[in-house]
Amino acid sequence: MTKKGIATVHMDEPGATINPAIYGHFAEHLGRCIYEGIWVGENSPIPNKKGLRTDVVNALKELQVPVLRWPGGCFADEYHWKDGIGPKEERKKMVNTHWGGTVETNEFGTHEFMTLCEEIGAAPYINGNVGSGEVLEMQEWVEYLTATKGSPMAEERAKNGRVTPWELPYFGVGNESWGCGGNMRPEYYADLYRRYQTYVRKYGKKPVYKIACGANVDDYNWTEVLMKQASAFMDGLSMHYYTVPGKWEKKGAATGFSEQEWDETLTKAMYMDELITKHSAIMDQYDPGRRIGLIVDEWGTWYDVERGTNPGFLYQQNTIRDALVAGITLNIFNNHAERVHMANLAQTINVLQSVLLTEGEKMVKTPTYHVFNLYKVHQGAALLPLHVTNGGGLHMSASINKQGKAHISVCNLSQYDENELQLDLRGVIDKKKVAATILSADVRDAHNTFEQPNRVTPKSFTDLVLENNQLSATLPPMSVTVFALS
Amino acid sequence: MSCKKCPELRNKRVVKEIIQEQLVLESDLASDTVFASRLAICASCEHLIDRHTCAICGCYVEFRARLAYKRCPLKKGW
Repeated sequence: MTKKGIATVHMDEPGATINPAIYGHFAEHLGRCIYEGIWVGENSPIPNKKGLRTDVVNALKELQVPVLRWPGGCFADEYHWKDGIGPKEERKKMVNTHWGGTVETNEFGTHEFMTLCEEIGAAPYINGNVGSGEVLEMQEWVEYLTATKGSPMAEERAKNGRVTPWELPYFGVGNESWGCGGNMRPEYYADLYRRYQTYVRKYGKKPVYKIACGANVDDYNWTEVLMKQASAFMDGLSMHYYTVPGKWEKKGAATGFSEQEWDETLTKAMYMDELITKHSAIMDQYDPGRRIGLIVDEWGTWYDVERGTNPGFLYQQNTIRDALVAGITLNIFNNHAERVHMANLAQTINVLQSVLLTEGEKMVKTPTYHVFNLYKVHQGAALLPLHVTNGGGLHMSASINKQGKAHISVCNLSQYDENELQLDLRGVIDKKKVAATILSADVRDAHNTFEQPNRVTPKSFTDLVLENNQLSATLPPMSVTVFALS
Repeated sequence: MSCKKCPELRNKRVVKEIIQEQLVLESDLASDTVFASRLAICASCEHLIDRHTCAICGCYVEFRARLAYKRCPLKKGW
């Protein structure tokens, strides 16, 4: 059956700028995300530069990762940064109590992370330890990273091989303080946040964008309390939401899932729109000018781990269904560009909705990777208003960049139905050319493996017509398409 | 995100149960001889964590070594 999707894009009414950081990622010390996924060490037979995997660095560079969050997640509130600096052989080891109980060698620490950010061109977003760390410890971390010479921490940094201070654009004060980060009540955390953030000093040229720990999913009271008691002290407030098709105890499989699980997954992914709308409405009461960003610094699909893998490593495959979740979610973030200033997909490599998977020397790009690569054209562009008359199972967003090139990303959520898209381009006077790229698949759990790395890969899309300010196209089921109008 | 089951996952009995449950769903199994020789290689590997998990692929070695079609991710003799 063919469906029909009708919408109008107001090409002459550009709105809020889509912050590039909406396309951010998250790398936690969890399973094989950091070790094996990013860091193999300088003596590894796997090609690397300064211990960082060359294949991974190149793939992330291509993605134009705008911002990378580290070291957690739950790990952040048990991480003591001084254990991760200085000669590697002298670094204190610790047990990663949250994730598999593995021994953390601290081989990958502050210098390694900042080098990674420099290599891939991403802004660092460091999450400080409030749960088990002291305020002085956190203050000294910011000083170590950003202070110029003369400061004790800057001298320590120079002794460890880095004279020039780094820029630290973003800093998070605690993570999930309502849960793994200390099991706090919002009133208590609000006070603690006010205290800790005071010591996130401006040592460098630019002030640090301070992010307070925000709500778990639909805990609107948390947002209310934080905004009421601490909004004057923050630049951003976080929110976490994961798409889990089943129940927490039995989430469902990443591959081999049913028709019903497809629908449940996409329906639950769409819930992000309601969450942002409602949290934003609360924030609007205290911050009508929308100075403070809603930072969705953990989002993504969460399934049962792959059979035979250590459940503490949270390793899952990634299919065309995940590509649709990514497409929908990024459209939602674009459409809320005024309030969503940053978002971080969990997680970069070998964990939940990862963009890359590795095994030994092998690496594969997932369908989610390809969506981020297609959507990167929205980074820094102005959001275009889009009015959907008849969605017909489509989900979309549109933007126009400084060069006047417009991009429209459209997801066809149906497993079976193609969709005749009809887009009225209102206010268009000079858009004559259209090109499009599509990511789609023949089965609902199509995915890439080390044996078949290109089973789900973007292709040029030509089943379209641009005529009389109207763009028409026939979109296949289970597809993410990005149109470029110039 | 928060996972609370790590202490359980380090328990040898729990790990064995997980492996046995999951192997029931597999059909292409290696013989006892092949399995034993593979495990011997894993036992002396520097990438083995807690005597049950391979740090390179994240698998429980007693699961992966039992599957005939699987290989050591570092090709260390199997």
